[in-house]
Amino acid sequence: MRLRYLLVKELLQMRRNPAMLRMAVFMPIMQTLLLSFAANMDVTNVPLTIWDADRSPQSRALVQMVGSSNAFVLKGYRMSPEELEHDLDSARASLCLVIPAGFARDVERGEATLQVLVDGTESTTTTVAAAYIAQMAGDFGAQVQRKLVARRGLHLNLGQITPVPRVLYNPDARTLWFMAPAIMALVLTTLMQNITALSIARERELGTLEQLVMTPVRPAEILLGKLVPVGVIGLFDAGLVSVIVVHALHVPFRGSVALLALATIIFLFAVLGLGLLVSTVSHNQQQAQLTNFFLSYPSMLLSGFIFPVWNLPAPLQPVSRLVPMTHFLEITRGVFLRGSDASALAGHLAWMAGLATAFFVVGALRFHKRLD
Amino acid sequence: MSEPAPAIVVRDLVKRFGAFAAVDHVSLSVARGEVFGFLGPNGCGKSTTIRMICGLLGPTSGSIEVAGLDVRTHAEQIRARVGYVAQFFNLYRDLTVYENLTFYGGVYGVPRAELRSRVEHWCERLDLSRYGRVLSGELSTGVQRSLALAAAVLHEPAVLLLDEPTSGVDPIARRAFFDVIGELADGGTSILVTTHVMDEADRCGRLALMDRGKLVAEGTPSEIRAMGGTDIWQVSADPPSRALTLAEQHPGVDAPALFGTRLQFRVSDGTTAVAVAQWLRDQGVTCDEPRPVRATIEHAFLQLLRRDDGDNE
Repeated sequence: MRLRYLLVKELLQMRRNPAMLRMAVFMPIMQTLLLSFAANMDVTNVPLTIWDADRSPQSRALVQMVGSSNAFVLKGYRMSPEELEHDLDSARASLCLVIPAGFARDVERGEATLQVLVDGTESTTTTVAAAYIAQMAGDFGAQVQRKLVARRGLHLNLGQITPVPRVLYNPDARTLWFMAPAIMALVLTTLMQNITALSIARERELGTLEQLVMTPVRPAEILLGKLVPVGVIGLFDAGLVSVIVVHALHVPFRGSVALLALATIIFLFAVLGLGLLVSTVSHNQQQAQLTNFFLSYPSMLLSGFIFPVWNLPAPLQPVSRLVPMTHFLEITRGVFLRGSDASALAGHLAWMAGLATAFFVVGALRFHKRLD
Repeated sequence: MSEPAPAIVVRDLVKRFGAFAAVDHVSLSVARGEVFGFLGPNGCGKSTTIRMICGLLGPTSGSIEVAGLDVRTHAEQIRARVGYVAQFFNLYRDLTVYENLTFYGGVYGVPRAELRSRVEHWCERLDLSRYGRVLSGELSTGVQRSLALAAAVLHEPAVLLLDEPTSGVDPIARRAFFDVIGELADGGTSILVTTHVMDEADRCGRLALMDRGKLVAEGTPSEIRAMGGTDIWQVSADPPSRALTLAEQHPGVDAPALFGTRLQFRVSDGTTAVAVAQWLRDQGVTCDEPRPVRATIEHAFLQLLRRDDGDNE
């Protein structure tokens, strides 16, 4: 009964705060769409410059082969090592290919070398691009040898081994597919944790909490009044992000909607619990916001949002388990891409539920204590 | 019928924060229908006492009963029977007057069927009706005070706690506010009000004066006035500031204070007001014959606290 009045009050206040509502609707949409454009670690359009010191038909054939690959964009020809260095310094090129004089002769002898200068500042894409060039150069050399041998009426078997990888769940290894399910975790963490912490810190800052605790309302009712509306917005945002990811970005959804909903609810409990905890260590809204900000980076870095958890140093790996996002990421990626069922994800669900309970209990106890 | 139980009984109340005793062995009782004024300088422990009466703060020792219930064991029931107006405006600034009142009436458990008519009644009585749909953050301080009072009385509390309810309010609105307080008391509500404003103190049935955690005086306004002594003398002096400086130097003159061009002072043994006036004239100050003035609460207040800086409103 009293809770009803607390909820109505929260709704009225939300209606008076259109900035918050806009953020709750547009931030998920914007983040999801932006990510779909930006989160691209596929190696395409790497800018390349070439110094062809050989100027032979062979070297031109190689240049054409490299230039026609969609991994590279040929930005121009250079005449000296200084010019290449300048390209890298000015970021005009991320990769430079040097074809030394005598390349045509050497390639026919089967002992040609090429130099590839790589901009290591963008190591994720450029090292992959350098490996592409190495592969193309190998193919080119083999092609030349095969032609030479064929000209003498022979057949050459170079004894190459060709592995045939079969990529499961994400056959084209698209970064978007990997990142899109994670966006839900990001949106819920950044937005909901902040809204929770701020709405409690605000009542403390403005003194309205002091008036409220003079009424017969119980601390648990105050908390429910605060958290239920935020939880509902969180569920709405989770649905919104899922719909965009599946229908606009065409990321497959292979698992069960019910399982994802269950996991989202548990994750929301953990996020709201953390928000509550943050509000109890903050005297005002600014502190609450900064504390959330401070917490958001470790959870992104430790959770596998960008870097795989198995790449973390051994002592940090257990720490990553204490981050609710770690488990939610496994669950969203599992449900979206692998079509995992509850039994495959039970461990993560249990961890998340445990963390949610811990955050909530500690947060509620601290909230209760700080009312005195 | 037997005498009704007092609405608030505080016995030997102590609250320590570390080594600091914010409230130091305070006892007081507020009768049903009484307006009890709680005076004292800032930081003397009034607000701490009020917070303990609401059960928001546990006492270090001592006991508190409100409406016959022990605060330690029945804090929630007590809060349902107490109304509270804070020193600062603590209602929701982003809600309208009606929304705030509906909310507070609701959480205090006013039946829905009655809530609307009670809100209308109090808006009418406190002159809030025309602000009904205005966001309360946009109201003037005086109207905000009325709104806070309305929110505190919708549930017809047995006890009303007012923590400096009229700070920042003009005298006319303050008078209207106290008229309502008087009516509530006549209706049987017990009211504990802290204040700095002396004409408000005069309108209380009984007063207690608190200083540095201790109760230093208690009684009706006239009893308190009497504690301030009656031998206050007044002369019109020119130049007044020189008269004050001189009076401060004269042996036997106590607590001299200026009110415009009028110099007020007490005299202790060994001198008389006439002698002081003559001395002032001898020093070149124009000054008339001293007249006795009736001691006010403010005089008593300053006397009891041994303060002479007179920085009250």
